Amino acid sequence: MNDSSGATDRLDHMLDSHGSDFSRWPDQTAAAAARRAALSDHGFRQKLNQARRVDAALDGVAQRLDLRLAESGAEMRLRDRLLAQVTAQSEERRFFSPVLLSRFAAAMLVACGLGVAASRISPLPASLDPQRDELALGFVDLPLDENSAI
Amino acid sequence: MSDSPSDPSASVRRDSALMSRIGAGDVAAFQEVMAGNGRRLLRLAYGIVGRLDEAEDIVQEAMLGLWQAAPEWQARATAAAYLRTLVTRKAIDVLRRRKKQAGEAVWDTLRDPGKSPEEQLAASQDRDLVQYHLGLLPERQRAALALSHFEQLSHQEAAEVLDMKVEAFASLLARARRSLRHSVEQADTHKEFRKTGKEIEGYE
Repeated sequence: MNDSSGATDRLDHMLDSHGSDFSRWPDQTAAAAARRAALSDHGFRQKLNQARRVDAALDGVAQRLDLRLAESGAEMRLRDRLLAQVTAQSEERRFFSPVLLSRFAAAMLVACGLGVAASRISPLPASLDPQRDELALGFVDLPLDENSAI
Repeated sequence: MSDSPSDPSASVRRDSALMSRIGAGDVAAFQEVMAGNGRRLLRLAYGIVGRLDEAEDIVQEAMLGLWQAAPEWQARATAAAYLRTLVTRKAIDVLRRRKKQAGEAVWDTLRDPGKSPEEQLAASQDRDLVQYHLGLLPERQRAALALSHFEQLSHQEAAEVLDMKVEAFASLLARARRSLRHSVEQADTHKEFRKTGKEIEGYE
């Protein structure tokens, strides 16, 4: 393969990789070489014309896809289907969300802390402390006799 | 929701906040993602598989995939990029399954409204030809064309979606375009044959 055919192959590859719009080629030096080749090389010009037709046809296909999508109402259908599925799961997710679970855990921790603090303040075990019963239950359930208290 | 090319990390951060809301069961946040991506994803899936009913199923699966992934979301990519990747891969899977089942390409019939069949034939000859041959391409080549041409992604972005190197993606895309270019070339050759009586007999 000589230099000339190597350069042409490279331009062919660039044409197929980046399309027929030279302004969109990442290598503008190659794009300039392609513009020159389009003027001087009949074979390359023919490939360029075909590539332009393909690009234009692909644009046309994309337009048809858009049109068909708009006509079909697929987007609305999809939205309704998804919302029906997701809404059912959202309540469950909200209940078990990390925020709610962490709040619950924090509340449990505070309750435990208060319990420990209360046991430190009161000298009697909880089961024998009528003041604590009064505080927690609103009444005092005094033992009938000494034996039944324990 | 659209990616900001100037500051991708800002998009990632913003989407991370959105995903936290979705992870906590916020349907409005999910609707926001749907509204920003639904149409584009449908077009991408439709562009690859060529059938609207399958495209809808693919996008639905991908959106539900996002919903499921939200509680464990890692802020590495935007929701749009995540969805694009899911849709592309699912669409390729659909094509592979279809190839095993039927062994042939299927495209919905796409018509131009308001044109007679003769007008449509004249105006859309190249489009029909290219669309037909698009359906015959291997699945990854179709995906490469859809990502590059329909989604207008850079080679770098499209290569990430297909989990390949940029050079490999460029070659894949080049093969796809070359096949389409050859189809146009061959159609021209056949037209030339049709112009002369003897060749018509020989050709047909």
